[in-house]
Amino acid sequence: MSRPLRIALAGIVLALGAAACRDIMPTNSFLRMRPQATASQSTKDARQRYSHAKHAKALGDQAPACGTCHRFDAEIGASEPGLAGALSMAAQIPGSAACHSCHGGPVAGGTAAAQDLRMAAAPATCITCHSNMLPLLPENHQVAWLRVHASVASADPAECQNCHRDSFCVNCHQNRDDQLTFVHDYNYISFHSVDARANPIQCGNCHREDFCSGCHAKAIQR
Amino acid sequence: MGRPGRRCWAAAVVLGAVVAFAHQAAAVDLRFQPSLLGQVRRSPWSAQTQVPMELYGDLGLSDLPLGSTFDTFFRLEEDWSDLSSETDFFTGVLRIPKAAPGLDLQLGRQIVAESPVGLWDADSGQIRLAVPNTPLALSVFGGAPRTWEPTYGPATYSENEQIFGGSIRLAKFRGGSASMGFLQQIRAGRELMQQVTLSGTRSFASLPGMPNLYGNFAFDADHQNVDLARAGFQSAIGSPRLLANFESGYYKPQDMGNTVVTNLDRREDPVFQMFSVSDLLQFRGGARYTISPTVSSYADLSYQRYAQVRGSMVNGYVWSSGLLWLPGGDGLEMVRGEYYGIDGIGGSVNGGRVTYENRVYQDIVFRANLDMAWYEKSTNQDGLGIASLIGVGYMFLPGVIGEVDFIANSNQFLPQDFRGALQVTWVTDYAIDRTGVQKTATGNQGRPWPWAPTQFGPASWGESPATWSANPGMPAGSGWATASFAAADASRTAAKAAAEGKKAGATASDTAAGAIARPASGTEVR
Repeated sequence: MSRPLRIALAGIVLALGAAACRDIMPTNSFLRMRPQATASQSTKDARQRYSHAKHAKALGDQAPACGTCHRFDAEIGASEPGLAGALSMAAQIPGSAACHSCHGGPVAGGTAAAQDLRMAAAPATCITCHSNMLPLLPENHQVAWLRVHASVASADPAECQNCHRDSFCVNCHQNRDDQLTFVHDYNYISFHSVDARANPIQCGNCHREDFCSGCHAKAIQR
Repeated sequence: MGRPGRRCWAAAVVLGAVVAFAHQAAAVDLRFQPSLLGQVRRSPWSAQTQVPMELYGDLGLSDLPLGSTFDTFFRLEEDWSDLSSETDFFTGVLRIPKAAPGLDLQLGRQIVAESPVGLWDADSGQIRLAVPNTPLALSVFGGAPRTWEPTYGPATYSENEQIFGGSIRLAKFRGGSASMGFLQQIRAGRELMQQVTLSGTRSFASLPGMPNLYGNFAFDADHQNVDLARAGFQSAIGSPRLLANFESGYYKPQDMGNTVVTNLDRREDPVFQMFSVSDLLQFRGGARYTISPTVSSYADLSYQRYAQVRGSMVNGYVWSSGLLWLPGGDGLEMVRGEYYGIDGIGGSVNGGRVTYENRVYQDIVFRANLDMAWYEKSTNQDGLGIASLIGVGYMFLPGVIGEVDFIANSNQFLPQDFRGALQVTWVTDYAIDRTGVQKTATGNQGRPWPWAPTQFGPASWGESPATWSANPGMPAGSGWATASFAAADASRTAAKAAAEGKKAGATASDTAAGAIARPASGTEVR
């Protein structure tokens, strides 16, 4: 057994050991990306970015009342400050529907009144409020999305920009990371010629011909 | 001005922009995610030691006036043992999405993806004009593509390129659109292609399986040649746990088949045209099946047929199949095992890889990867290629992760290739306004491998079985405002009826906007 193979197998053993420690080590409190209520997780991000001051300025002429977004139909006695505090932090938060009544494009099947209530001036991009985009995956981001996204993106690039910044595209398309091999592992150099002849349409997605000739010319010179 | 001087100048411009905008806007959001990567390795071409250091990352500003954003991405590389090997690249784009009603402007070094046959990083400008209350949108772009790929040698074809084009979005659906466009590409002063394009995609969220259809077509008017035709669909079939995708495509980057284009600057797709003198037919299919809430299986197969030389058609097959296990269902731990294979005129490959990534524990990241492939080439070469990595990271400051990796490989050129590597990643987000600078987010994600959901969708996530809704972010019928909309609708209907009946008392204040102030119960809000 070669030394690289032995080292690699040792890595797998270590990985299994790390997995076995899940019950005895403190768990990650920064990345709880996927709790049960996925939508509320993303809403929580958005909630933290909400600014009453910004909205009061933007909606100045319309003078929205508190009840425009918040509901106040829960009666709380003055003797229950704890309950009032809890409700003000949780139950009175209006939820995503109130936000999306202004922010966002037309909704299929929405009523005429609902469409009228949308404000053309309100930013409609997801990243206006949401920083955790994972729970908001559109329905077409499925199955082989990595393979088909080019077709969809070319039909309407602006649609991609609702959620993704330019750097999101560049991060993969121009990535030449020496450590975390995003596309090809380090053994690919041994058999890239087989892949290139089996599916020559894909090489040009990332590489120019210079990339081939740079190494092959050196090999010829040697 | 030298390279360091330009970098300092660029940094000063960015910081100046932050300060200037922060005084005008309520709060500017500053996002900064740099990663410092270092590696010690031996060159595959010589016995020399290489010590490349890379500064990867992006710096972005948002919440600027007019909804503007400034987004950058950079990779600055320096090999400390060979100072002539720099392959820096950087992009930076200013986007003003609301320069005027319906007008979206972008300027800078950016992604241009408005052609179905290509994508460029280009020094360019893009203007989009959306016609209000219609699906129509006009887009115009133009610029000079840029390439930063390390070439390890002199460039062999010109980077003197220009692209110009535009598109019109003809229709817009929920989850889709259709557009037609024009693209002209010029290289080394000569026209390379003039394409008329048609692209469309549509999701049918209300149909069983939520199918999604897409298609592209490009006709090169200059060569009187169909460059590309592609159609595909993806859908859940029968069970929401079974997802499938099929696609067929025809690709002919130039009017080939009669002559080999020897001048690289005249090739539309130089890499493809190095292997083929003809058009290419491709059929591709894939399926994902969710075995349990935390275990998914997948399989993909693609078939290609083209002429390597004139009159000699060859076939190529590429396939893969594997299992993805997300222990705990929270996505913080991922185990992936895959078998893959290639078969074609160049030989055959049979390989397997196992990937493990763990972010479960506080402050700790752990990952391991093993990829082994047996290859047999048509050149009578065969062997076993191995790639492996073990990495451990620790968050020693909020948002700052340091990681040490050990990489061991064995391939045709280096039977024993050992590398030591480090990564330091800082993920941070600040809100800047007149009152000062406030940190708004930290994380310990570091630099993840391609994250499982980007390939497998939410079907593999969560502890509950996969379910499907038209919009997972906003479940239908939820939220109190749904009832408010209904109340507003009723109010509007009543007002309309009142107007039609010319009844007295129908006032302008009885509008939908007024109605939303009422809660679902219909009682007045005090």
